[in-house]
Amino acid sequence: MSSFLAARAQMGTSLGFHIVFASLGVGLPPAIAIAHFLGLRHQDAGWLRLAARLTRALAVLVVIGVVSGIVISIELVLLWPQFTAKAGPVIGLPFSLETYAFFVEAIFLSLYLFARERLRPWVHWATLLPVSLGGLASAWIVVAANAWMNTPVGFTYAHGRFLHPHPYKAIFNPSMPAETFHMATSAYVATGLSIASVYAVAMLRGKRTSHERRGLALGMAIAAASIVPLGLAGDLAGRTIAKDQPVKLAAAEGLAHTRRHAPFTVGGLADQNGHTRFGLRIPDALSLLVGRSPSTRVVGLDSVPPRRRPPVAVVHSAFDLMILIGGFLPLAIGAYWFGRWRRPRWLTARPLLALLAVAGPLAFVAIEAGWTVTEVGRQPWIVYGLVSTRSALTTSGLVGLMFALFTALYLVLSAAAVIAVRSQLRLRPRRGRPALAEVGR
Amino acid sequence: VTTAAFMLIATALVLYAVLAGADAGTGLWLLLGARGDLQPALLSRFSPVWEVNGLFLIFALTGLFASFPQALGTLGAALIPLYLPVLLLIPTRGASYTLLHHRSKRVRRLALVVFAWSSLGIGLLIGYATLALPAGIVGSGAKLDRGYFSSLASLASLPFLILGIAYAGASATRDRRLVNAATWSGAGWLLTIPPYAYALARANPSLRHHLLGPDAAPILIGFLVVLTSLFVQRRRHGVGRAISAAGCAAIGLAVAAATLPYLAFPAIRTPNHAGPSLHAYVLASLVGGPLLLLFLGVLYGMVGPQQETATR
Repeated sequence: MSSFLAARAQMGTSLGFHIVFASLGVGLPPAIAIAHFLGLRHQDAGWLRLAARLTRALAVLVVIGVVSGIVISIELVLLWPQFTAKAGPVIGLPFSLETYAFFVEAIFLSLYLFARERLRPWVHWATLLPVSLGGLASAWIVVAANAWMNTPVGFTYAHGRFLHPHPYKAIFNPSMPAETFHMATSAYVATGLSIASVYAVAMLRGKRTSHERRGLALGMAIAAASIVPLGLAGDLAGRTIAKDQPVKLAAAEGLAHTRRHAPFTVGGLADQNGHTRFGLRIPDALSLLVGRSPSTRVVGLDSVPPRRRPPVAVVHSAFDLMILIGGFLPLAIGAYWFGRWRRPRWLTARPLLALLAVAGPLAFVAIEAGWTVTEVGRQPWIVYGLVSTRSALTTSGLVGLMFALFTALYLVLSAAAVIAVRSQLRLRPRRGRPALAEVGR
Repeated sequence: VTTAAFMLIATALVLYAVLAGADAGTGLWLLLGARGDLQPALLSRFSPVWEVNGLFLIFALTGLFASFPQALGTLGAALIPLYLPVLLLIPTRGASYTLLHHRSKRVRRLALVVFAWSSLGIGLLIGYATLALPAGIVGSGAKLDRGYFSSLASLASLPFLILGIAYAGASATRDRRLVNAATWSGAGWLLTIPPYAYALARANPSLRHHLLGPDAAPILIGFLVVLTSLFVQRRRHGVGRAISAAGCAAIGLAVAAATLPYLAFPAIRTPNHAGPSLHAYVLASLVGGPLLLLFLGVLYGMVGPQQETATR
């Protein structure tokens, strides 16, 4: 494996690992806040116990997220020094602002975790609000920086350098609203479905107390509230990509030639020229989605020379995976809520519980696939149209060794995270202490 | 403004170094000295510290990214061999930390040993890599001078660890045995700092008049403050701890100020590498920085007494 591929693979592995914990870091605090609120409002020990269990899991996940975040920030400097040197004047400031959001999130989370005995119950609950907002703000700024790499603005580019930077224009770049909206709603859906999955698995194993039912309901409520905004965000993201990064959309859709009445292709195998075999073609659908008219002209891969195309097969397959899972999740959510409304027996039926058990992991697979489309679809550029990924690479010969060691370490870290979270979720409330004392007194 | 940005980043790095030193000290105490009720005392005391201190490193890195991007690019290319082990140890420690409260005693014991060794290793290596900057090993072509690995200057990272060990031991608990042990070991190890400062000054001629001349006064005063605070801690625990932390920070900042105008001697001169977003970064930090320090004060004010009560 060349240094270039090893560096990209290492960055991909690190980001793919971190995104799971970052998404849960955005979604779990509001979920805990809701459970804690219900517990305090109704003086209900059951909801407080649920909040306490989720808090234990959050504590572990945040620690892993902080670790993987530190690793990524160091990797960015070590593996892509030319990117930091060139793009820093424009996009460095947003990254530094993200630290403040991160600080707020971490500090109030520490207060929530460690200062319970010193705060009044509602004040203790209120510390979750800055945690939730800090997580969201952190995600917004990081995604804004990524969006800038997709649609770079806020500078004058001359002689290979970014001059006269306007960092605030860079943050509010054209891709920022769609990418942020898409990421935030994905995080809420994935977190809600993950909570539901954990309790669906418990119910499949025969634990069917009110605790499991509450956990399932909380997760499915969060997922249901976020799934429609997620659909709107996906549509907005698709139209933004069509306008600002047409080659990425062409690769995602396996569209070889620029044309009107462009079909939407699901599945199939795409080659580097965009010719797709075995795919299901829906006539005019891509033109309709992009421009709200079947005669909308959609740019194909033939608009750029082959060396400026991303790996089409990877982007197309990842996009298909995201779309397929994106179609499945609303069905699972709908089945659960229809069951609650009309068919209460469905809620304890094994087929529905099995469906919900796989929905959480699948939601994260969809997030990984979505980020694969975003990142691989931008290739061969690290800053779209201006700086190639290859030119930003370090000259060090240690990249291959780093990748091998990191892959092994991330496997260990993943296993540790799973074992630790399972251990925390299984902990029983201490004997002699009422569950109210665990969170809200 | 360039100096202000440099000092903001240096402050974050020094805070990280002090807390990472304390972290490394916790690791060593766990391996060597802490048995019985001292183990949970150390762990409960340093859980919030461990959680927050990584943020200071990110703060420093993003500060460099915003203010001195060209310099950061050069450092990134040059420092791979030094930071590679750190990068490997950070996830290792994270994995072991998550397993410290596992139900199985065997898993907990293994996690504790891995956590202790990796905490110790990170503290040492971060100091080793960070002090490489003033030691003159980053050449103009972003190349690393291999002589650093065998030079005495590389050992200059040890004082940070030593301060950390003393601070961690004395802060973890009001237990008199531990406070006494930390006081005497800390005081003894502080005496090893002058030889390492001498070695650093030999490696970097521009630091010579700072570290060996009259400019060394703030650094020496800082050492004396830390030394005194260790003894104060035996009677007035909280006051001694605060003075100790302030002394550590004063030493770090004095060393950082002595390295100006270089960000990395001799390759990167700070004024020449200022990025165009530097003013905006300083402005944003001056608004946000004090707020964050206030939050930290509130956090430690709330967490500290509760934990101490629990360990009595």
